[in-house]
Amino acid sequence: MSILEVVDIVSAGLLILGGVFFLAGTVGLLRFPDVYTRLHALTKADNLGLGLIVAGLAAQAESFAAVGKLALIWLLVLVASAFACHLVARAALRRGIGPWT
Amino acid sequence: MRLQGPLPIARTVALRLALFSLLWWVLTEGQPGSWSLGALFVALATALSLALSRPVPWSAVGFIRFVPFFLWWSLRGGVDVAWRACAPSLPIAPGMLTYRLRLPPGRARVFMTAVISLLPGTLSAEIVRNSLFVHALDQRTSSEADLAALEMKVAALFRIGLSTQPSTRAETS
Repeated sequence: MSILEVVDIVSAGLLILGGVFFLAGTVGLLRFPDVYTRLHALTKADNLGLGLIVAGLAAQAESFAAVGKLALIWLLVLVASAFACHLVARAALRRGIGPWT
Repeated sequence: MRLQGPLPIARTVALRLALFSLLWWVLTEGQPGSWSLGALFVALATALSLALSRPVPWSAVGFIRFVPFFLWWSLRGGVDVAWRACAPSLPIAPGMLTYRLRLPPGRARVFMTAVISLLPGTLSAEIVRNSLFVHALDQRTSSEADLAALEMKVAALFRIGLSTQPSTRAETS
């Protein structure tokens, strides 16, 4: 097996695993009972899913700059989702929505 | 680990020039012809960033220690929530925790608020004075000790000395 095939297999594995986490995040969004628990599912599972997809694509990238661009995309999504998640939770709390127990 | 540079402002300018140059290189995918324009925009971006945000003290050692910690814990966070979402019995026991922050208000605190939401089972919901309200997906496994460990790491990253340890306790409400 050549090195390129190994890279392809690793890359495919990471992409599929990333997709699995996106699917799990969506399952959580549907099954979890309230806004707070749903935020848990969306932020954490999707960030990991995107991280794995970015890693899978980085293995196929043609230059280091392209890897940097992918990493930058992941970082920006990470920052945006962490703050969006905090703001949604805060807005829900200020509206008096109690957590499901 | 106090690596005090000779001139903090010169270090900040050099660091931001380097970061914006890296950003330009990444965005243009390293095309050599782009640098005449790039130099101009790197200088403008650095000037703008200095006007908008003051230099932040941070520690390179703290940063190097923080990155693997963060990657490992976000991996655990994703696996944990994916497992809970897919398990037929839906093993969650949510609740709110109140954590007494020792970090002073400012960027370190904002940073910690954001990172908490990416760690396993915790989500920061609100800050009132020095109390951080954290929503835990499972109260049985999320502990104040994890938050205290994170706070120590954030403090090391931003070169903040935390008040020794008296108010580490966090009461659940």
